[in-house]
Amino acid sequence: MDIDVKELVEKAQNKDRDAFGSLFDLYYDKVLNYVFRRVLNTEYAKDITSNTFLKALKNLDQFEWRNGPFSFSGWIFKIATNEVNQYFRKQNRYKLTIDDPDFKELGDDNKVAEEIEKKIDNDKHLLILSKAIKQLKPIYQDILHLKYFEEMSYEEISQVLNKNESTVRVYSKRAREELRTILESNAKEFLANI
Amino acid sequence: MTIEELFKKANNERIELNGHKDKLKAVLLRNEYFDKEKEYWDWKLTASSLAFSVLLIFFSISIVSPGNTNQAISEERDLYKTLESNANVSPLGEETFNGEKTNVLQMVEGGTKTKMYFNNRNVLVHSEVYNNN
Repeated sequence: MDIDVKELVEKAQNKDRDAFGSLFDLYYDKVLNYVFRRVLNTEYAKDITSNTFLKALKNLDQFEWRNGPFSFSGWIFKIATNEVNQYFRKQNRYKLTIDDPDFKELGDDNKVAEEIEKKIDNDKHLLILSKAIKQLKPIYQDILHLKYFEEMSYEEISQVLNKNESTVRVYSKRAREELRTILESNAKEFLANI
Repeated sequence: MTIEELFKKANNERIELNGHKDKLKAVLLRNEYFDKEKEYWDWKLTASSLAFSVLLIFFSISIVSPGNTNQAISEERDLYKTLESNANVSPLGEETFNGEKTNVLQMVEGGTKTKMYFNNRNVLVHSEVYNNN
């Protein structure tokens, strides 16, 4: 069954909790995984995801549906991307903005987080790729993650990043070329150290 | 392995944090956002408040022009008389404003209330606009 995101957004803007809950269910995993692949740290991925959704809720009244079918997902990813870039600027000073003692309590998630990080450490593909991407310019990092992990079209990426579509295409090509060079150089270094 | 293949393999590594998801959802749904009334921009009310404010400013400016003082005071008195006979205006009695006894009239239009303070010569000395919505 197709979910009418536009209708859910309109209901949520009219203070309908269930509608916002459905939007949250729809985007939570996408946002969490996007953020995690960018920062490779479970705790910060949780904080950034939480801040993204809180910001989305607080600014929901200002959201306008004007960029076609991807308006809302583009908007959510724009908030998430801004938060990720803020994290890169602030690093350890990045803070969770939700001020709720119940929420801050550490639960069973700690064990899960450890397992996830172990698993990711064993599955080298994400690690190799994410570390190589981190050596690129921030805008190239944004584009590669949105294009290849989130599988967004150039049109969607241009909405998320507020850039012209043709600029995104050019940047994407350059980002790929630079990534290839970094991966090749890393592979040579790796082989030389065996 | 091509870059696309590498991305595909990396993309299979997805994380799930159900505990965090449930807690975050509960916190967000408790947020005060859902208790607030939706904010509307009411053009009619804003326009009527604005128009009335412009009218009052016009009267205030004409008062300070020395050449027109007598005429301005007479116009102010006319304003008092006009307002007093208006069905939307009710007298609120006497109040002290800036140490001066004033007669207060209140005009209600839609959701907008305007309190106007007139001195003992029925000259407007102050006004306040409240938007109830």
